[in-house]
Amino acid sequence: MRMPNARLAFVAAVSLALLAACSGGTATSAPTAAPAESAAPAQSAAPAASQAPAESAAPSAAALKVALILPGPASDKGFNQSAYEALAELQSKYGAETAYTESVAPNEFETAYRDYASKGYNVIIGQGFEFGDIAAKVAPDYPDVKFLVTNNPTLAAPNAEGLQPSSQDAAYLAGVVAGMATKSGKVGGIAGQQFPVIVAQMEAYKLGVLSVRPDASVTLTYLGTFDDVAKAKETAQAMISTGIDVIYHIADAAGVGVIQAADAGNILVIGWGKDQSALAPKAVLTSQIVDQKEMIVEAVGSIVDGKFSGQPQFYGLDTPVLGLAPITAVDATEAAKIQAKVDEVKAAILSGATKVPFITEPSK
Amino acid sequence: MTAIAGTVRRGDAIAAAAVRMARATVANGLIVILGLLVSAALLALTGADVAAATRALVEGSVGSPEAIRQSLIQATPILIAGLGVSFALRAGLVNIGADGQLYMGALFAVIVAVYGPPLPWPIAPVAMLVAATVGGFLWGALPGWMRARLGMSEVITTLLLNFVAFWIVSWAVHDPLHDPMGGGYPWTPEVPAPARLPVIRVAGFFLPSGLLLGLVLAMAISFVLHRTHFGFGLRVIGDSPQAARWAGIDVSRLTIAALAISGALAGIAGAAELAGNQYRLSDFFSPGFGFTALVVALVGRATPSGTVAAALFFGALAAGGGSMERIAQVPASTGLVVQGTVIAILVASRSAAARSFSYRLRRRLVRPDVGAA
Repeated sequence: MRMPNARLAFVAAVSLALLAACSGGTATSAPTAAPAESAAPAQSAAPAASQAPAESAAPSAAALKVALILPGPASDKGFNQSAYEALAELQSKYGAETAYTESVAPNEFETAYRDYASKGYNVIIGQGFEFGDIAAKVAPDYPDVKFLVTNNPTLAAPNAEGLQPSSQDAAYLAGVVAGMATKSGKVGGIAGQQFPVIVAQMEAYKLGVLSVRPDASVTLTYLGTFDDVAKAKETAQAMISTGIDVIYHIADAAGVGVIQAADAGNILVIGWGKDQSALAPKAVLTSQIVDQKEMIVEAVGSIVDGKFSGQPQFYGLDTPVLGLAPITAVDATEAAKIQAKVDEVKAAILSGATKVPFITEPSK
Repeated sequence: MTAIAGTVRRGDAIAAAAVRMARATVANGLIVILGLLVSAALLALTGADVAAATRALVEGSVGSPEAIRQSLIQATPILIAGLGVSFALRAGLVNIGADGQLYMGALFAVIVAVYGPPLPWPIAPVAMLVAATVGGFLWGALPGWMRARLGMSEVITTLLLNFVAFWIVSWAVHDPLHDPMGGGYPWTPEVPAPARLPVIRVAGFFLPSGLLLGLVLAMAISFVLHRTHFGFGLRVIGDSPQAARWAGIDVSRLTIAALAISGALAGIAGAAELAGNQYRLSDFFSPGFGFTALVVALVGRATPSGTVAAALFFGALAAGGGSMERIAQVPASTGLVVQGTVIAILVASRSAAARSFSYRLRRRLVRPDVGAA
């Protein structure tokens, strides 16, 4: 009986000491915090007019409050970061108040959605196909909140919609570039997980290669991870050792490993997401642009304009969401030749003359 | 303790137990507060707005019925798996494999729910839970058998079987069980509506039924440990396997049973999470529930009531810590920092060094002449 007592006294003494130390600190910081909070409500007046009259009951609905839920780290230099960067643009373009949360695991999807929805956020964005289920489940409980799920071609509800870049079109163009640039006739593709949208791009890339180089051999590999740089590097090195001289990657953060291996092995590589030529100017042939940031900014813009449809939205090569970065790392005449072919194929896709299929099962 | 209890009147024993519980509650409460204060100091060092972060932590964990619901949802799997870890600990067995057992339970559950015959509501979740119990039981019995018959340390085998279970599930959700309508995304179809564990509304609050199941299991375990020969045998083994052997207790059989039941509970945790929160099994189903369960069991001192209290606390910390990140925009790992700090202080406060220090401190305070030498 004496022991717990003594321990209790010890713990109490230490916590009291700390409490004393800390309360001194908070007392000085309190006055600076207070004005910052009281300033917040002042900005709510301006965009009131653009809101749909149906929602006029709640005055707080007038202010645009956007929350973003990311499945991975916001600083991944790829998929998550590009969505994260949309928030800054939404702040400057629409005066939106924004919040985000990163590396959210599936068991917290619903917690995150309900937390934001109940705290007055009126646009909640899930970055990635996997948020579709939860958005559909939660949306009916919060009719005044708009739910957007990126890279989801199916989500449709009165207040929820999927946003889908037609990435396979850009991947096909990447394939055309690889097919024209390869000397050995052997090209590779390295992707993260076998998600449907990823598989569709890998298969479109293969079709693009074969459209300009029917005799080419195309090796496609799935790593099972989007962030294991070392594994991606080893896989790329193994490809290089078989004579492959152009590699395309959709491996997000792990793709850095592919680019490193290509740079060291003196072969060409096609980046993904943003223009990745700065990572290895001598190796990066081009990059497939899939601009999550533009897609989110456009989708939120249509909500602000009152054009929310509740149907999946598709973004093609005619939008700033999708495209191909300039051809680099080869000599000027070859670059011009490849670029001309890319422009030709792009025009054919936009006119509907070339139709890139959406294949969700990997070819053997 | 048992010898003393025999000599005092029943009323005294109950009063003493109440005092002990009250002391433990106050002591643990102080440790939690201390942990939060240290975390606040760390947050302040990173330049975060501590006041806003604290408000988000409180509002996000207990500030509204919705927040409480999220705390309870987060608490459910770690409570049930934590009970499993506690159960084995009472027999002196360290089960580090709760995560794998949870995955196996969820795998068995999803097979029954999604690929079995369609069942109506009360039967479907029960069938899932039974299947999960079997899955977890087998995955716990295996290291139990290896320990009892082959003398292999359960610390190693349970740890390594986590990876085996994970990769079995990973293969299953990529290939035979993957959702054809998900177009290749590595997860199973959703558990059908009649098999889901509902959230019960009571007086404006939401109670996940998985959590209620956990509370019932805690009471059942308390009964087994304290009111059955089996439970007595387990506790004797936990105190001294040598003594248990001399007393004629079948240590091998009880070792296998303890780990199997421990695994079964972790398996049930998997089914509760599946049917109560995620609905789909994927290979990122568990963010380390089994390891949090180990922490919950240790903090709860391997007692059912302590495990319940610790699981509720860590569930609230998960929801509140998440909200701190979501609303106050402090870094993602802050919740983990708070959790780690609380654990570190808790462990330190129970260490021999801390006890000896506080004992000497107390002697010096109470009897200055003794400590002065």
